[in-house]
Formats: sequence, structure tokens, C-alpha cells
Amino acid sequence: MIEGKPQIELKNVGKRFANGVAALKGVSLTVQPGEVVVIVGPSGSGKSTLLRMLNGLERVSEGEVWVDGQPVHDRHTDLNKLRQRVGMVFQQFNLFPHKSALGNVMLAPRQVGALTVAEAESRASKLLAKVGLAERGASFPAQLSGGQQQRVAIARALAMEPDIMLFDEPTSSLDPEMVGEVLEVMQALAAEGMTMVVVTHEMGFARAVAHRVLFMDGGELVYQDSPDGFFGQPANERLRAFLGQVLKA
Amino acid sequence: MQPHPYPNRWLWRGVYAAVIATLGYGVWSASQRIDYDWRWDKIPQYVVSQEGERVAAPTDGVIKLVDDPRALEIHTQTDPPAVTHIENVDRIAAADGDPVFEGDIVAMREGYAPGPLLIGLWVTLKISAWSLVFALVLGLVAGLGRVSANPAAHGLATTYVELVRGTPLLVQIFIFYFFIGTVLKLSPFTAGVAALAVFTGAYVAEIVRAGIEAVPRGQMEAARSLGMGYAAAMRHVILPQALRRTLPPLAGQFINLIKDSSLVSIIAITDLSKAGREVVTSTFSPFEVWFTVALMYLVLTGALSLLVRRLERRLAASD
Repeated sequence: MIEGKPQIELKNVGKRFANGVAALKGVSLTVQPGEVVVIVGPSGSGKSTLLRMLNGLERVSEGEVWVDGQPVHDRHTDLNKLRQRVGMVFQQFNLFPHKSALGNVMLAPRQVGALTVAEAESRASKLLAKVGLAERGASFPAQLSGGQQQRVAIARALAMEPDIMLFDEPTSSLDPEMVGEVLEVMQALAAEGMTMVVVTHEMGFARAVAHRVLFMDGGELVYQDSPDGFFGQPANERLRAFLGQVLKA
Repeated sequence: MQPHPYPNRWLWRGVYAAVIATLGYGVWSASQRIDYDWRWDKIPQYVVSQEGERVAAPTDGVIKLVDDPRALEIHTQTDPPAVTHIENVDRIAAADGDPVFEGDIVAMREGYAPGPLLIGLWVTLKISAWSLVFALVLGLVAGLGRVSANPAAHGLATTYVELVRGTPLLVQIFIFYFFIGTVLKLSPFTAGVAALAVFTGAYVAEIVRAGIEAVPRGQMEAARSLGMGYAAAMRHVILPQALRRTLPPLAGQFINLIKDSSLVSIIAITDLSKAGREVVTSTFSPFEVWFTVALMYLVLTGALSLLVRRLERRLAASD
């Protein structure tokens, strides 16, 4: 990746759902390679929609989305190919319940990457070790705790060796005592230089790991700054009100 | 978790037995009143026949008896005659010098042979099994069409399901036998299998659709986010989960299929129901015959539901 050329670029992106509700209005954003961007905002502010546009799970109504130099907004773009370079982690984990942890991680390398069973298995084992679950490869999702499931989901998202990772509220459905183990894995990933876009309510993570924090409200990108500026004295009324609420809680 | 035993369960089991016994007595006393001559003893021979095996002449010719009372020969009327030996028969049904034609019964072998009802049961089983295979394939394809966003696939699948579910099976069987069967020169058996498969396939399609829709949306999104195409995601992620959920309703549908197959008896297929009708005409014992036929259907459907329950338990254990 050439330094200075953005890895993700949104130009004036809008999203209108079939029922006429505008989820996003005129959002422009660039993310540099290796950058960790955290998006916060009240529920319904469009942060998840924005994230899901980056790998084409959500279609763009207007504007342009460029990821790794590919036009995601263009219907002719091969999204399957693009998605191999963009891993995604979901709030509900979405692990495949009929496959073991190892099987979950192996599926894409086998079916998409055309790796042999042995190659896929060795890659999956390494990834499970990386998220601290080397011993649980044979376990099925139902036998794992929430935190363990989400770590398997991260390993699965890494299986196609992506250069961008998207996190959609990865800790929101976890019991409080399991949030830490997932955030640790994410922090390690950030330290390796992975480009990350994270939608989260974990302000501590944003403060510690993010290079830049974005505040969205009502489908608009209202404010963005470095963590210090964002959590210090932000010059925005809506953000101060939002921070006042979440930090008090 | 061990549930608490229902209070007074022996009392309620007694109530159950009493109701069943009362109903049974009611049926019995009603049958006494209508002056019906119950002849249960005539029924078994139509299930398993003791007549034994009929031995047919393999060629035209003349019977020649030999020293062995359990054997005979058939000589063709050519010069020199070709001789066919028939051995191990228990009763010879022809005299020395009788002229016979190919297919004539010349002797009997003793033993048990399936009677018309058992043969009918076998035809019912065969027709249900073939229909089941084709219904599964049709239903899977149509079910995938029903959940597809492609207008052609969705439209075709929906039209198929609505047409089939909106018309009676009996009418469909007639259409398959008289119209499609005539155009394509189908045998009654093929026409019957086709009608049953097309009919059941529409219901299987709806079961498959419901099964697919019951898999959380996130499963498809997770698979697609890994770069898997729609078809690969369906095959490796959605269908394995959907089909497991559809097993109980599918089992019910196939039990229906076995019962519905009795309708093909109207297009010259001698299945269990047709065999029942034929036995009634020769015994004049409709009550006994139809009770026997019902019991035989019950054995078939009961065996199937037992099998499915086992399969379900195996699948549940592998979770």
C-alpha cells in the first residue's frame, strides 16, 4: 500500500432504506493504511450501516465508497473478491453452529481460497492460537463462552488474510467479564498494523487504541478527532451531550 | 431436568384405559346390531398365501411324465424334440401327453407366497419410495427458488407451489395419467409416481423455504463477508442448518405421501388400496379387509416415524 493513498475513502455517501428512512447523509471519510478508526454514537445513528457499506453488505444509495482502490458502490465490482481482503466481526458473533471452532475458521480458506485440508487446518490452528484458543479447536460454538465465540469469530475473519478488519459492536452482546479478552485480541491486532474500523461503545478502547475517533448522530458524521481531543474538550454540543451520558453510566 | 410426575397418574391411566375399552365395546356392539357375519379367518390367506408357487411351462410342447413323481418333462413337437426338465415340484397339474403352451401352469410347488395384500403393500412402498426421492429433489430446487431474489426462479417456484397446492391430488393424478401420460406414453406406475412427486414436492418446497428462513440472517452475512458466493454460502452454511430443522415436518410430509399414494389405485395401479378392493370383491368381507388394510398402512407409517425419531435423536446428539 502506497503511503498517503487512503485505503478506505467515502465520498458524500448517502443511504436511504426502502421505507424512505435516510440512514446516512453525505458522509465523507478517509482511512489510511494501518489506521485504527473508532466510530461512536447513539443507536440508530447509522454507524453500523456505514460499516456494512465498506464490504458491500449494505448497498450505497448515493456517493462513492472506495476500498483498496476498488469501487464498492459499483455493481460490477466483484464483491466476493473484495471481501476476502476485508474481514468482518459481528455483534452476535454469527459463528456457524454446525461446525467446530476449527471448522468455522477453515471454511473460507477451503471454499474460497481453495486451500487443501492440511493447509487450511494449519492456518486455522495458527489463528486460533493467536486469539488464545489453541486448545478449543474441536469445540462447537454452543460449547464456548461468549468471549471465546467472539475470539473464534475474529480468527475466522482473519482466515483469508485480510488487510482491513471491520468490527460491528464486537463486545455489545458479551457479559461484562468477557469484554476484556476480546478487546485484548483487537488491541494486539491493531499493534500489528492492521487497518481497523471499529463501531463500539467501549470508550476505554477508543481512548487507548484508536488513532482517530468519529462521532455519528442522525446519519451524519458530526465530529472527528484524535482520542485526546475527542475525550478532552470537544468543540461540539451534541458530542458533549453524548459523552456526558455514556461516561456517566 | 426430571419433571415431577403428574398427580394421580395411575387414576388417569385408568381413565384412558376405560375410554378406550368403552369405544371398543361400542364398535363391537354396533357391529352385532347390523347382523354382519365376521369372517376373520378368510383374511390371512390374502396376506400370505399358502397356495404355493405356480410353475409355468417355459415353452410350447407336450407333457411327458417321468419315473420321479416330483419331476416332469416338456417335449417340443420338433424332430428331434427339445426336452425341458422341470424338477422339485410338489404336485403335477397335467397328465402325460397333454399339449401345453408357454405360460400354462403345469405344476405347483408348496410353500408360502405373498398374497395380494402383501403384494399391494410392496407396490405402495415402491411407489412411495420413488415419489419421495423425486419429491425431495423437486422440493429442494423449488424451495431454493422460493427464497431466491432472482425474479425468474422466484416466479417459477411460486407458480409451481400455488398451482399444485391449489388443486386436489385426485385431479392431478387424472391429469398426469390421462393427459401427460398419454402425450409422453407413460406407464400407470410412472404417471402415478410423477403425480405424487410433483404434489409432495410443492409441500416439501414450502418446508425447505421455512427451514431456510428460520436460519438467522447473520449466518448468510457472515458467510458472504468471508468472500463466499451465494451458492457456496447456501450449500455449506445455510442448508446444513436448515435441513436439520426441516426433518420433523419432512417426516410428516412423507407419512402423508404414503397415505396419499392410495389415490393412485384409481389409475390401474394395484397398490395396497386397490388390492383391498379386489379382495373385498372376492371375499364379500369389506369390514375385515379394510381394517386389515388400515393396519398395514399403519405399520408402514409407524415404521417411518420410528426411523425418523431415531435419526432426529442421532442428529441432536451430534450437536
